[in-house]
This record gives sequence, structure tokens and C-alpha cells, in this order.
Amino acid sequence: MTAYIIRRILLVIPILFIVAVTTFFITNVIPGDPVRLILGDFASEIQVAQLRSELGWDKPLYVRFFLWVTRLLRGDLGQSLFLHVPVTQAIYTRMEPTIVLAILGQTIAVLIGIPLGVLAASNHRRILDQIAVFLAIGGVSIPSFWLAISLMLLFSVTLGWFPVAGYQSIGEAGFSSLRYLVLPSISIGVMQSALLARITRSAMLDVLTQDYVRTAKAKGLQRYRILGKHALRNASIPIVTILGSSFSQLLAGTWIIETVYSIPGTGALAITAIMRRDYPLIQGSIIFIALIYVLINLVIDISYALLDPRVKME
Amino acid sequence: MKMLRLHPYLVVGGALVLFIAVLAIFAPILSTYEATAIRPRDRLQAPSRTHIMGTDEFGRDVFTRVLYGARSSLRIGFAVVILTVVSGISVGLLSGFYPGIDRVIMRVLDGWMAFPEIILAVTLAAIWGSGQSVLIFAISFAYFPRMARIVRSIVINVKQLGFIEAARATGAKDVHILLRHILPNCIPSIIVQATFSFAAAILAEAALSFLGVGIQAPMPSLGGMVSDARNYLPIAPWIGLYPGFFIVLSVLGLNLLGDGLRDLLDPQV
Amino acid sequence: MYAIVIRTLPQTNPHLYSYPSLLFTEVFFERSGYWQVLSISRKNYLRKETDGNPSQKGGVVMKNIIKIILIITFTVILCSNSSFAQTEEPQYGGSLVVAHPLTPPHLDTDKTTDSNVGVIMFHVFEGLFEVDQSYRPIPHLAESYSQNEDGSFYEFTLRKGVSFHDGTEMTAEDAYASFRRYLQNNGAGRNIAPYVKEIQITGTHSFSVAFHEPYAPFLYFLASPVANQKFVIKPKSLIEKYGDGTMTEFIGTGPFSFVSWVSDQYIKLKRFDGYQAVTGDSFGYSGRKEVYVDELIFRIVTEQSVRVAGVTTGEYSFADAAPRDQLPIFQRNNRIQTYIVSPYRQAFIIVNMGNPPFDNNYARQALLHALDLEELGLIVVGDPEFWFLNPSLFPPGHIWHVPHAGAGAYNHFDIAAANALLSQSDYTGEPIIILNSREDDIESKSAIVLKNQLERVGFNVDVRLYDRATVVEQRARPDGYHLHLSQFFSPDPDPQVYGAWMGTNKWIGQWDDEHSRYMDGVFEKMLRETDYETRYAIVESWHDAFYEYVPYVKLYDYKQLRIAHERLKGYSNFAFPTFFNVWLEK
Repeated sequence: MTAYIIRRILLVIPILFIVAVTTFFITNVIPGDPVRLILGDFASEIQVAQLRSELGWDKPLYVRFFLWVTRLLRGDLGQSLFLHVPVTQAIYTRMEPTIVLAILGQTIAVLIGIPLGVLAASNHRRILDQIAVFLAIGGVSIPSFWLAISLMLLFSVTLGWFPVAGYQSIGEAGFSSLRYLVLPSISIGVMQSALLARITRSAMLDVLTQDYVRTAKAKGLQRYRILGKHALRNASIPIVTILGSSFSQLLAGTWIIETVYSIPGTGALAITAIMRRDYPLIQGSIIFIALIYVLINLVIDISYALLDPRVKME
Repeated sequence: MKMLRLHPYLVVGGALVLFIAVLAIFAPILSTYEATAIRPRDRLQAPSRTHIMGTDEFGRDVFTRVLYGARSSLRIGFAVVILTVVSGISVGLLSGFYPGIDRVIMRVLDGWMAFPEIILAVTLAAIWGSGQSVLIFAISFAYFPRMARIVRSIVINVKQLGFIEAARATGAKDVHILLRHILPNCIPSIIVQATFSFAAAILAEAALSFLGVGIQAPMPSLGGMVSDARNYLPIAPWIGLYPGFFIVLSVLGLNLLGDGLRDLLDPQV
Repeated sequence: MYAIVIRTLPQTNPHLYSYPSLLFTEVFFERSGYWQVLSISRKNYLRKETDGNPSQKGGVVMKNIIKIILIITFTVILCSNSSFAQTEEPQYGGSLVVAHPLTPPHLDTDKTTDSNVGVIMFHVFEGLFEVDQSYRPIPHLAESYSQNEDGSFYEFTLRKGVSFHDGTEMTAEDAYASFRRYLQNNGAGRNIAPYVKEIQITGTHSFSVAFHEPYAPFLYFLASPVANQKFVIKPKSLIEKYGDGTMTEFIGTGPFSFVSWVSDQYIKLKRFDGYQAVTGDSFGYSGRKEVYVDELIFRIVTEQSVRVAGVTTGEYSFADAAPRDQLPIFQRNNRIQTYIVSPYRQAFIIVNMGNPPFDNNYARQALLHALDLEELGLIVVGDPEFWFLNPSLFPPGHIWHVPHAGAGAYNHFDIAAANALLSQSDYTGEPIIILNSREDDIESKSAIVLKNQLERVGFNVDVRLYDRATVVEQRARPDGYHLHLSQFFSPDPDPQVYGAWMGTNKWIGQWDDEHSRYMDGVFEKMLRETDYETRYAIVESWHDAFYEYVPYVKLYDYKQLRIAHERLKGYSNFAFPTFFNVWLEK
């Protein structure tokens, strides 16, 4: 068991290495010039050349790669060109809204998705099931930007219930900062709950056809007790897996929602970094997102191995 | 009628997809306008008999643009499906069948999937410049590992079935086993997956066009139309409403179809 | 009770040129002793700008009559509109939130030409000179100045008792250090630098600048509100600390002091209580600058729809670049005030003359005649209220406006002529690349309309809309583009500014032939000429060359729409939004 876990952890290293190398070379072939963006429209060629050499970009690619890797190994991702802070700090300060948003969105998804899935499974092939499935499929079919814009128009502009966009950190505004996140988390929650409802439904259906559930039914147990005690508990493994992996995606940043609602999270950070060709920040963001993905998958894999000894055979 | 009761998603989804496909294919016949023709005097007209979905900020007919936009969405979605299915099948078959290759391929795919897919697509679009073929490659590139993994898991399942052992016992070659025995058994699941990735590709195309890295203007795309309409929502909601509605319709149709197909081809689930 | 006062501003500082008599009229409303300049955003007023050229003496009488009629009409509208007529005592306090569309790359005005930086930081930094209503430089941090006869030597005396935000007093040492840094780093400063012979500190509050030869546009550059060309004074200590590097601390003399900047989120300024206001008329950055609000926050909001929605709900007090098509909706909404800015910008097509087909003048002339400017304006900008045709490179009312420029060339839409010219050129049907930023509404729409128009006369067009980072890189390459749309600020201080953009291998035009050298010659003459009449003749000949060789194509002048929440009072319109003398109603 320990050997499996160690092997699994060691496997992370080549993956991160592949990601890092690819990232460096990808960012170096993206066309576009941040130097000219910084200097403005009418900058002269001399000014452009001057800033380039200040940034060390006049050195050959392999030299820059070598310098980058040595700094990376020390945990130094460099300095953001536009934010004027170290990349690690830039990402760190942008994590709060993304984490809060991911938690809120996921909570909404759980509150809607699981009951919907259970409802569908317990009424299998009846009209309620079909309505629930239709809702779930509808939920994953709505483009998130479209939903976000519509919610904003209705609830912020027309009804004035919530702020239009933006974010205040919890340290700054306390719990009233949550007002900014209601609509964005609903936008995320709808899509996630639809996914979750489908998974819950199929996992529940799997369990409901098992013998012990039939036995329980035969014993005359009440329907909600069967659903709650036996079926849902046993169906929870695939549900939790999906929750885990979708949570890692939410942590990577819900860039569309963050962009539409002007929320300063990690997703919006990555997108603006690409748009502005903030090379160190692009590299940092990709490595950060990959790291989260890899780590969460590692946790899932290891917990599987702990729960189900057959896994290590594979 | 009986079909509708037995497989409601299949029928409704299929009908939706067919409806959109017919509109898209017969766009030049269905509309008398040109998708890119500019008419300054007809800017921002509300839906009427001459322009059933109104006109946009260039005075272009929204209905025509929606049809052509749906056309390019379907074309891109279809191309992405072909690319991901073909590459997914080849990689998935090899990887699922040969455990030796599997190790290496899976590590590479792990690294690949660790890249956030939409950021990967945006980056690729930035490298290659935007345009239809770039969009197709960028989305396929981002979605291909997913398809490869699905095919691989199907292959691993099928491989353990008795008839494969039997075929092997008769001395059949690997290529023969892969193509004649394993692949046909994977096809139902692949069709189901392909339908879902068709829907995902349309959503991805819309999202990328929304970000502005999609199809080059003035050619219409549904996501791009919604994106452009943002600034006109209060005065001309129809510019964004109809393309948004068409994205939902086509994605919904494909997802329903996928669910229906799964019920039909793979009744166990 | 309202009293209407029509004031003719006396001609101030006739220092450089003997200007033709300019007449500037403002409408003042008096109530309980308080004067407020009203920002006028009605059609009647806007027509005023297009109806002629003030620098032409013959038209002045007629213009005045029209003006008076317009003012009376306008007043009738105003008085019947009760919401407009409320003028009140300014109130202190509150925090003013401005929805700002773009993140600045940094906040050091001398290290970028991005006007986005100046819009924020010219609340913190002040110029030695600032421009007045007629865009002429008037002393601001300077108390007075003198110059020699031919304009090759200037001596500036600074105002005494002006303190920086860190409490130290501004002296000639600071001005000297700032000026040296300006010459080495600022876009305009670097243009001036080669002509400067010597800078000297001549007293605790005075310094002098000597040139090798007369340098006519000097003060205009120093006061320019455009592209951060303005010369502002920063403390010597700060300059010694940062040298030619990009500053990350911001200490100025302005009525606002810098508090904090969280990139991509906000820039926060607060009222500087030690500010010494000057007494002149307030206009833009010049004159009296009183601050009533406690804080001024520029919040970065990239989505236009969010900026608009935020002003509607009162979350933001002000937003620049509001959608022009939504003007009727804003006007119906009592919670929103609208401001139309003019002169604002002029739209141009930049032509790459280093490559076929536009290295050939016939092809460029064909381009000129292929354009239907009316169609372009109607689609790209919208309502004709927001744009007007103007052949000159300066807006009507500006001292360098040339009303009859480009006769027979400007707005001469003629498909047959364009066809004929094109067949005379050596164009062989290769695709013309129109390279622009897709994020910019005006640029991307123009590119699409332009494609339609050029294809009508036989050009083959390939529109490429990329993100700005790609565009700025591509257009700097000789073969990166054929046509590129750009917009320049109208209130340019001096024709000399164009010297850095238009001429042999200037900016991105790749222009290098005998015509470009002729153009260089025009600018050289302009540089030395200090007599207004003679210089005006040079400016006319520059316009002629502009239409003969077509390095750029002038399209139209357009206006900007700004919106403010009803609580914001006292805002007066200027090409760049300024938040002096404004207050928030409780």
C-alpha cells in the first residue's frame, strides 16, 4: 500500500515537468508584444528595445529557459509585467474570491443536484424522472456566459437586488461581500447541479437494482428510508468523486463567470494574462492550475486505494 | 408514437438536431439576405415581416446570420468530433490493448489534461491566429485526451470478454482482433460519447467566440453574435436573444440525443 | 431666478502668435450667488461646432448671431426642464467611484504614451503649463515665464508655497530634475531633447531652458493633455530614487494624492488637504481645482454593460465610453445624466506605404475615393449627432483648423473614379490585410464596413481582428498589415505632434520616398516658424500634401458619450474626464 502511494506521488513529478516545459515553450511562441502594450501606441523603436533588454528578452531562448528553470526550482515564478508583484503573490491574492465562489457554487449544486437526481432515480421511467432529466440536460446546455448576463440583467439591473459586478474581499467587507457572489455562484451552481443530478441519478439507479435494496423493500422499509439510508449512502462514492474533480476545475477558475462579473479571481487572472501577454503570469497560472488538478487527482487516487485495496493491482 | 413513449429523449433530441441541421444546410435557400451585407439605414430594427429576427448594429439580417452561424457551429462541432474520435480511437485502442504503451501514453495524457482546456484553446488560438480551422484544431486538441481515455476504458472492458480470448486462441493477429472484434464493440459507446462531445464542442466554440478568439468577423458565429450583442441588450435584445436561443437548442438537442442513444444502445445504464 | 450671462473671454496670454480674434462663449447660470458652468448635451448646442470656422474673421458676426439664437433656444429648453435647473451648494464628503474601462500598465506618466494612465494620474500630477479653453498653454505650476524674441530661450518662475503630497515644498530643484527625466523618458520629451542646448537653475524657484534654434511648439508640448506628453513636476527625491526606471510611488502637487493601486481592481486617490488652488477659470486640468469628495476611486470595469448598469444603480458615479446607441434610453432615465464630449477623437486609416499595393499613390488615391464616409459614420459611430465630417486634422474652433483642406479628395465617394485609379496602380488582386484590435468597438466595426466598401471597387480584403497584444506587434512589422484603423485625440496641442507620426519611417507607416522627405521638410519649417500667419500657411501646405500623398486617410471626427449618476454634481466636460470641482449630493 505504502509503495503504491509513494509510486503515485513520484508520478506527479514527470507530469509537472512536462507541464512546465510545455508551458515555457508555448508562452514563447505566442505572437504579441507586451512591451508595446506597456509603452503605449506611439512608443519609439528605441524605447521598445530598451525595455526588452531591461526585461532580459534579448538573450537567446535556451539561456532564458535555463534561467527560468533554475528560478522555478527555487519556487520563484518571476515578476508579473503588468501587476508589478511576484507571480506567486499575484495568484495568492486572487485565490480568495475563486475559493469562496467554488464553495458557494458547489453548495448550490449539491442542494439542487442531489435531490433532483434522487427524485429522478426514485421515479425511474415515470414523468417526474423525465422532467428531472430534461431539466438536468437543459442545465448543461445553457452557455454559462448567456446565463450570467441574463441573471445580471434581471436581478441587478432591473430588480436591483444585488450589485451588478465586482467583489469586495471578506477581510474588507465581512459577510456583505457575499452579496457580490450570489449571482455568480448561481450561474456556476446551475451548470454544476445539472452535472451532479445526472451522476446522482445513474449512481442511484445502479444501487436501487442491487439485491440488498430489493431485500429492504421486501422487508417493507419505508421508501425514504431505503433511499436515504441504503441507496444514497452507497451511491455516494461516484458522487463524491465527481464533486472532487469538478471542485478542482472550479478552483482552477471559472473564467467566464469571473470575466462577466468582474470578479478578481484566478480564472480572470489567467485570461487577462494571456490577453496582455504577461508571460511570467501566464506560465505561473498554468503551472498553478495544473498543480491543483494533479494534487486533487492524487488525493482521489490515494483515497480510492485506501478504500478499495483492488485498485493498487491495476 | 410508440417510439416517442419508449425513447422520448431520442425522438425529441433527434428532431431538434434535425431541425437545426435543415435550417443550417438550407440557409442560402431559406434567406434572401446575405449574412455579411451591410445596410446602414436598417440598423437595429426590431423583428418585423421583412426581418423576422430583426437586424443588428450593421443593419444585417439577424435570421440570416443565425442560420449561417448555426452552419459554422455545426461544421466546427462536426469537424471536432471527427478529429477527436479518429485520434481518440487510435490512441485509445493502442493504449487499452497494449499495457506497455499504456503507461507512457497515460502519463502524457495526464500532463496534457492537467492543462486547463479552455486556457489551452485560447493559447493555441493566440499562437495560430483565429479562424475556423484554428478553432477546430484548438478545441480538438483540448478535448482529445478525454475521448482517448474513454475509448481506452471501453477497450479494457471489451478485452476481458470471452470472445476476444477465443479469437486469440485461434491465432488471430492483434490488428485483426483490434479492428474486427474490439472496435465494433466499442462503437455504440463511441457514438454516444461523440454526440456529447459534439455538444461540448459547440459550447466551447461559443465560449471562445464570446472571448473573441473565434471565427473572424464579419463571418457570423453564434457565440460571437451573443458577445457582440452585449452592448445592445437594452435597446436591441433580439440581436443576442436568438443566437443564444439557437446555441441552447442545438446543444440541448445533441445532449438529449446522446442520452437517448445511450438508452437505446446501452440499456444497462 | 436665473440670469443668463454671455461672456466673451478676453484673449489671454498672446505670447507666441498673434492669433486671429477668437470668440469663446459660455453660458452661465446664477443662483444664490453661485456660478456653475453647465455641461451642455443637447442637439442644438452640438450643431454649433460644425457650423463654421472661428478663425475666419468674415464669419464671426454671422456666427455670433447664430450662437445667440442657439443659446436662447437652449435656455428655453433648460428652463422648461426642472431637473436640469437645480443648482445647489457643493457638499463635501463621500467617495466618488469611476468605472474605468482599462487597466493601466503602470502609473508612471513619463514611461508610457497610454492616455489611460494620464486620465487617472493627472489628478495627482500637475503640469508646469496646462491648456485653457482654446487649448493654448497657460502657466499652472509656473507663476510666470519669459522668452526671448525668436523663441530659443525660456525662463520659468514657479509658484511659491506649492507643496508636494509628502509635505515638502516644490522648488526649482524638483522642476529641474523632473525636466531632465522628462527629456530622457517621455514620448514628447524625447522629441524635444535633441533641440535642447542647456537647462539651468536660475533661482530657488526659477529655471531656464535654452534651445539650439527656435523651437515653436515647446509650450504646447509642455501643456499637452494628449498621450501623456505633458510635463509634470515630481519631487527630486523620488526621481533620484527611481532614475529612469518605472516609478511605483506617486507624489505630486495635485489636488488628489495617491493612496493605493490594486492592479486590475482599483486605483484609490484621496483629497490632498494641503492643496493650493489657483484662481483662474476651471477648464480641464487648468484653473481653479477644488476637491469636495473625500476619495476618488477608479474601479477597473472592462465590461461596457457592467459600467452602464453600475451607473444606473448608483454603484459607480461616472462611466466613460458609454454606448452611444443607448443615448435615448439614458435620456429617459432620471437617474442618469449624459455628457457628450466634443472635440473628442478623429478616426484615421493608417496606410502601410512600404509594401504593394499602397506604395503606389494611385492605389492610395483609389482608397480615398472608395470610401463612403457617411455610411462608415452611420454604422460605426451611429447617430449623426455623434460624428461629423471634417477634412482638417484639427477640429473646428482650433487655431490650426483648415476648413477647406482636401477639396475634391475628402469625402469624394466615387466608385468609378476609384476603379479607374485602381486600374492605373499596379494592384494585382492580392489580399489587403486590415489589421485591428477586436476589443475596440470603433476599430473592429470600421474594419468590417471598410471590407465591404473596398471590395466594391475591386480590392480583395482580408479582415484580421486580433487582441491588442498581437496587433501592436504585427503592425510594427513592415509586412504585418496593409491598412490599420486608429483614432487620435482631437485636442492635439500643435501640428508638430504629427511630425512624430507622419514622415519618413515615422511610426508604423513605412513611408520612405521623395514625398515622405517633402513631408519631413514641411514639419521642419513648421518647427522653426513662430509667426502665426506664416505658420498657418505651412499648416495649410501640410494639409495639401496630406491629401496628395495620402499617408493616412482622415475619416470623420466623433464624440464620446459619458454617463454619470444623478448624485454627481458640478461635472464639466473635457476631452479627458476630470473630477475637480465636483461633488456628490447626499
